[in-house]
Amino acid sequence: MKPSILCLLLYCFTATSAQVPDNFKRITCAGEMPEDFKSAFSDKYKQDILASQNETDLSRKEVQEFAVLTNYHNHNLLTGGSVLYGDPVSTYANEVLDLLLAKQPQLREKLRVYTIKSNHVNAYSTNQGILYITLGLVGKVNNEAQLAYVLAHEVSHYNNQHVLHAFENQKDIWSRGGGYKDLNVEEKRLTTYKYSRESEFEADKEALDYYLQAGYSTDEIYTGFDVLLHGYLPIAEHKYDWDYLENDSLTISSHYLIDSVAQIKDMDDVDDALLTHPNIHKRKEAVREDLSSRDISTGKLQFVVKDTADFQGLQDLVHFEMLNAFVRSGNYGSALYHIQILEKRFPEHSFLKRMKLMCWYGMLKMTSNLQKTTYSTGYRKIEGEQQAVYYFASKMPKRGINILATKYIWENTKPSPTDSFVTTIRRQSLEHLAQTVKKDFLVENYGYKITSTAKKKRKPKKLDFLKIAFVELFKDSAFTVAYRQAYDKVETEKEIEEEYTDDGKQLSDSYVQGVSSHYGLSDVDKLLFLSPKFYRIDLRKELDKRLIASDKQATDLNERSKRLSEMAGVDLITLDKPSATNKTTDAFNDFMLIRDWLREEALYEGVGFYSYSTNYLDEIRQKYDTDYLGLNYVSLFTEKNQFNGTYFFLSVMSLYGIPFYLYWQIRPLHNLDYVFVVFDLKKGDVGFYDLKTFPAKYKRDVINSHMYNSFNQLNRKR
Amino acid sequence: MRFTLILIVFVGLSTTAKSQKPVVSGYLGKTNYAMVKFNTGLRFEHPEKWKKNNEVSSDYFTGVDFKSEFEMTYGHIFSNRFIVEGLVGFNTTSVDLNNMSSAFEYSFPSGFQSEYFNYFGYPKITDVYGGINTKFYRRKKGALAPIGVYYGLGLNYHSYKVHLDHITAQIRDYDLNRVIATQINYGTFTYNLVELNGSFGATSALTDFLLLDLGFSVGWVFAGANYYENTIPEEAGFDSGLLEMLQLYQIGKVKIGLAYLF
Repeated sequence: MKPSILCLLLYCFTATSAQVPDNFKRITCAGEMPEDFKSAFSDKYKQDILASQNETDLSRKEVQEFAVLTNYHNHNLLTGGSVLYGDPVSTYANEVLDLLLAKQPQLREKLRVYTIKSNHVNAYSTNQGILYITLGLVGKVNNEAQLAYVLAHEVSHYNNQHVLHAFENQKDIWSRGGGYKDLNVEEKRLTTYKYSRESEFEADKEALDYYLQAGYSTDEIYTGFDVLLHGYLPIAEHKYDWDYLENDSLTISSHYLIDSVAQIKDMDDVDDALLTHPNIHKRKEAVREDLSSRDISTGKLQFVVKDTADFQGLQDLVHFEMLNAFVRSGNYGSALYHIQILEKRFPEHSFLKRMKLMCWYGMLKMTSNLQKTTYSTGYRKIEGEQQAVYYFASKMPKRGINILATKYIWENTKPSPTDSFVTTIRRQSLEHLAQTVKKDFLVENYGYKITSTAKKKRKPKKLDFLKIAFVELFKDSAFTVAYRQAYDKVETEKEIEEEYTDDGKQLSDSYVQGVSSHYGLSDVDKLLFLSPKFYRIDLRKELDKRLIASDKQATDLNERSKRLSEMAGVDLITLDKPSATNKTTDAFNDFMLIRDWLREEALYEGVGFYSYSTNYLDEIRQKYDTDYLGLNYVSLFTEKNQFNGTYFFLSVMSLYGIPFYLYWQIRPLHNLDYVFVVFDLKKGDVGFYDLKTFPAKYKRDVINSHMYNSFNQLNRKR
Repeated sequence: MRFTLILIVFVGLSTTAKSQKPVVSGYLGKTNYAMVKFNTGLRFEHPEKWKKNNEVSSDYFTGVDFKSEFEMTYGHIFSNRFIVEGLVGFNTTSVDLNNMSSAFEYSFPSGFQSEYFNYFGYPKITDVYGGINTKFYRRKKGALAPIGVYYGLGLNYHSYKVHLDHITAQIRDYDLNRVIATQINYGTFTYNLVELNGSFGATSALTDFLLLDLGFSVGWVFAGANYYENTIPEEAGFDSGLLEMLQLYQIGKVKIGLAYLF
C-alpha cells in the first residue's frame, strides 16, 4: 500500500487524541545543552585527529583533512540554529535507539540523536556518533517501527565507519592513482557511487540485527522503504478544497483549477548507477533475501516505546512544526495544502488559522518580490493532489493573488490592538492592494460591473470574476474606510519617498565605491548579537586549512566584539555563545528563533514584510530588554593573480619592467568584506548597516577600527 | 556564506529608517594623537658633518649619506577619512660650498685686488620649521582614520639659519699667478622658505594607544620674492646654490612616526 494512502487513512480514522495545544508556537530544545553544542570546533577536530590516527591508513595530512571537513559541517549544523536537542522528537528517537541497542550498551554510549528542523525526509550519521533525523522523516513515517529501521540503518553506518571509509575510497579513486589510475573521470564517478551503494546494502543488512532484536515488524521495513521513496510527497493525499475562498461575490474561475493532477510515480526500480543509494526495489530484495536466510522468528510490533496514540500526538506536533518550516522557506503552496489536511483533525485550531492567514499574506507580499516567487514555481514537477495548489498559484496573476489574499485576510480577522500580526497584515494587505491593483478594477456593486461591461461591449476576461470580489466587503463601512485610507496613504507615501530619497543622498555615507553605510540608529546601548562569523576563502590553500583559519579568526572576532562594544558603551548579549561555560538551552532557543526570523526575512527584499516569526520577537525583546539585533560577518577572499601574457611580453621587451611584472604576478589578490547589520526587532526592519568591501588583506587593527566604529555609531548619542 | 550574501542583498534594500550623520570614531574612540616622527632620505652631499676651517683638499665628500629630521606632531581626527596635523620640527644640515665660487672683488691689506673666489667647506645650517599637514584616508582600501592608507598634503614654514662665520675661501691672484687660502666671516644668515609637500603612507595600530605611521613625502621649497634681499650681499650665486640644495633636500623623504592616542 502506498504510504500516502496510509497517511490519509491515518488522518481519517484518528480524529480523536488531538494533543497539540491551541497556543502552539514551535518545537524547542529542552534540558541541559549537550557537549556537542558547547564544544569549540577546534577541540572537536583535534580530538578526532588523535582518535582516528590509529584507525586508518590515511596519511597524517588526510586525517586532518577528514577531521576538519566532517567536524566543520557538523559543528555549523549543530550551532547554526537548525538542530533540536532534548525536544520531544529527539527524546523519542533516543528512546527508540535505547531499545534498538539494548544489547550493545557500549555502542549505545557513543551515539546520540538530534533532529534537524527540515521538512525533507532524511536521516544520516556522522563519524562522531551523531545521528540526525529530520522533522520531515518523523512526520512521514507511519509508525515507530519504520523510524526504528531508519535509525538502525544509521547506526550501522556509524558502526562500520562508512563515512571514514567513503573518504578513504574517494582518496584512493581520485588522488592516489593506484588501481584506479586508468579510469576516466566518468568511470571514477561511477566507481564512487558504486562504493556508496555497497555501503548502503551493508548498513541495511546490519540494521536488521538491531531492528529484529527489538521485536519490530519486518513488514514495516518494506513500507518504510516506500516512505523514503515517496519522501517528497505531502503527509497525505487530499483533494484541495477552494470553498473557503468563495462566497456570494466570488466564485473561483475554473480556469485556475486543475482538471486532473499528475499521478504519483512509482520509481522503486530506477537505474541507480548515478545514485549514492541503491534503488528501493533492490534494497527490499536484499532485505528479503537476508531475512529468509536468518533462522529467527519474525517480529510483529509497530510500536514499542510509544503507543499509537502517543505516536500520533508526537506526529501532530511535528506536522505543526513542519508548517513553521514551510512558511519560513516561503513554501506557501505546501503550507496551505498541509493546513487543510491538518484542519480535518484540528478544525478550529488557532495556530492553523494564523498559519493560513500567513500563507495568503506571504503570497501577497511575494508578488512584489521580483526575484523570488517560491509559492508558484514548478507546478509541473509536483505529483499528486498538492499539484492543484501549485497550479492555482502559478496560473493566478499577481493581481488575483493580491485580491484573494486581501479578501481572505479581511474576512478572517478581527481588529485587535494587542495582536500586532493581525493588525499588520490587515493594514499591509490593503496597502499592497492599493499599490498593485488600480482603484477602478474593483467594483463596489454588482450593477456597476454589468453596466460597465455592457457599455464597452468587450469580451469577458479571465480575471473578471475578481472584479466583484469585494462587493460584499464594500457594504461594511469599516472596510470602506480602511480601503480608502490605504489608497490615500499609498499616494502620500510616494511623495514622502521622493523627499526621503533626496534627503538620503545628502546624509548617506555611501558615496565611496565598495562602502555602503546606513546609520539609521544612534541610541542603541544594548544589543542582541550573533557571534561574528569569519570566512577565509584562500584559493591557494586546501579547504581544511581555510576552515581552520576561519575558525581561529571567528573566535578572535568574537572576543574582540565584546571588548569593542564595551568601549563604545554597547552592552552586548551574544545569544549563540553567551560564554564558553555558560551556554544555556534558554538562550539557544532564543537564538534559534532569531535565526528562523532572519531566514524568513531574507526571502523578501525590501517589501516591508512581517514574517511569521516576528510574532515571537516581542518575547525576545521583553526578555532581553532591547529592540535591536546585530550581526557581523568578515570574509577574506584570496586568489593567485592570473598570468597575463601581454604584461609579461611588455615587461620582457622593456627589460626594466621585469621586476615590476614579477611583483605584480607573485602578489596575490585579496578582497575583504565587512558586514555589520542591526535589525530593529520592533519594526521588523533593518535600522543600521555597514557593508564594506576592500581590495585589501585582513588586518586586525583595520577590522578593530571598523567594528568599533559600527558600535560607536550605533550608540553615538550617549 | 550563502546566507551572508542573501543578507547583504536583503539589507541593502529593506531599510526604512533615515540615515543620520555619523560621528567621528577615531581609533577606538580616541580622536587626538601626539606623534614623534623621524624623517630621513638619501642625499649625495655631506649634510651632517659640518666643519669649520676644513682644509681645502682633504674633505671632499663623494659618498651617500642620510639626512635626519625630527618632528613633533599633534593630530586631530576630524572625520572618518580626514585628519589635520599641526607640527614643529628641526634638523641640522650643511651646505656644500666646494663648488661655489664668486666673482666678488676682494682687497687684501697689502693692496692686492682679487677678482675671483672659490669657497670650501660645509657650513652648518639649522632648520626650525612648523606647519600643517592634512591626511585623507583611502576608504576604498578599507582605511578608517587614523588607520589605513592615506594621502597627505602639507604646508611648512622653514626658518633656515646658515652659519657663514668662518668660510674657507681660495683666492687666485692672477697677477702673481698664485692661490691664497683665507677665511672670510660673513656671519649668520636667515632664510625663510615655504615648503609644499604631498605624502603617501599607512598607519597601523601597535596597541590600543600606539600607532605606527610609515610613509614618504615629496616636497618642494619655494623662495619668496625677498629671498635674495636678505642674504649674503652681492652673492646671488651662493643663494641660488643654497636654495637648490634645500630643494633637493625636501624632494623625497621617508617618514617613520610613533603616535600616542588620547
